[in-house]
Amino acid sequence: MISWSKNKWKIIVLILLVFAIGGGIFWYFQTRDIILPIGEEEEISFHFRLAGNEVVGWSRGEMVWRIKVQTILDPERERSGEMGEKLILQDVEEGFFYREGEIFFTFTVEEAHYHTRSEDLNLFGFRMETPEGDWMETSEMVYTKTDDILRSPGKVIGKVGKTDIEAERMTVLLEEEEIIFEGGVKMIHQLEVE
Amino acid sequence: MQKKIICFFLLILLLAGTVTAERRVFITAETTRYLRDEVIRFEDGVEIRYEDMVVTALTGEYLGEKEELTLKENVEAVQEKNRIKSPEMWMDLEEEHIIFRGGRVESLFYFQQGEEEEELPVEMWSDTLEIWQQRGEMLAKGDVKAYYDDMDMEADEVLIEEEKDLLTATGNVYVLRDDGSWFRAEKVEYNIEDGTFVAFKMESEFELRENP
Repeated sequence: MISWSKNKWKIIVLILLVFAIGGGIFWYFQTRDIILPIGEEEEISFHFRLAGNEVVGWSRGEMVWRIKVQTILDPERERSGEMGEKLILQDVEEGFFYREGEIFFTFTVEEAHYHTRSEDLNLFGFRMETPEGDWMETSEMVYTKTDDILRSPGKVIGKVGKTDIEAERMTVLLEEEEIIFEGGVKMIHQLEVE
Repeated sequence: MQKKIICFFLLILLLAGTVTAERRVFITAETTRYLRDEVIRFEDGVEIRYEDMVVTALTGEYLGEKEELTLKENVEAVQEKNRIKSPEMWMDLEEEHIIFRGGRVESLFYFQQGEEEEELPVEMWSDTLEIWQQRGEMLAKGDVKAYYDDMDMEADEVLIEEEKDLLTATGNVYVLRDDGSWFRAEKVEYNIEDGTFVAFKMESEFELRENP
């Protein structure tokens, strides 16, 4: 048994110390500035925020895409949209699209939006690269899971093999591994002659 | 030291001779599909510019591994005043070997008889027409009909060698001139520059009528 009379002052000091530390922690969390990587705090509020993650898209049991991302934001204001919840992926390190387990092409983006209900992706400031060195750039690419297709609503530029290419729109049929350029397609093909 | 410098410059000169030159093919199309294995399809109209040649067609296909291009439907190739129309065109871009095929090939070429003479057109119809750009040769095959200056020519094959200014017609050659004179032969060599003929293996019905 602990003797009250003998330890009275010790117990009082301990209780005061616990209250002081608890109060300090409570005060810190109430008053601290929340630092967001991009944007102002008052413009957007987040349901949750994760850091240092990979987001992976699957279709029919196969991995279709994978994005290595530093910051995942879940803005509350997007939660009631038709597309379902939208996660904002920022500080994207690298992304991959796969075909039959192999990397079809890698890509980088300035920002990606992942719709959790439809599992669609909006990729902004998109640049894709294939293992063979082909590349393509456009301001936005949209991946829709239902048809497994990537579409660029805007102008694309790039290089495929020895051909520089420019078009108004681009569609990537992932299943068929086919890229379609449409609208005023211009290509310059380099021929090497000794 | 001086020897080393001379050797270095000789090496550079040697390498300069084998430096790879680049040439460009300009392609415009409404729709282009990149398929597997470096296959490219052109749809809804395609125009290809290669050096001074412009080729248009409705559809096309390029095989990247072989550097081969096939154009189909209303193919028209224009090079300066020369013009070829054909249902289909196949081209080996590396070898600069072109074949027009897939139906009757209609072609129009201009040749100059002598340095100060006016260029005259050769109008030709054939089943196929092959062109070797590097060699400056053209071979028309299959029911060839040609019209040049004052003569109509029919033959199984007609070979035009630009450097030699020589047109060689072989197989069932029949030549009819505007003045009504005509002849048949197994092979005819026509010198484009001076307008002279050499006929081989003339058949018994051969007949030539001189101008009055």
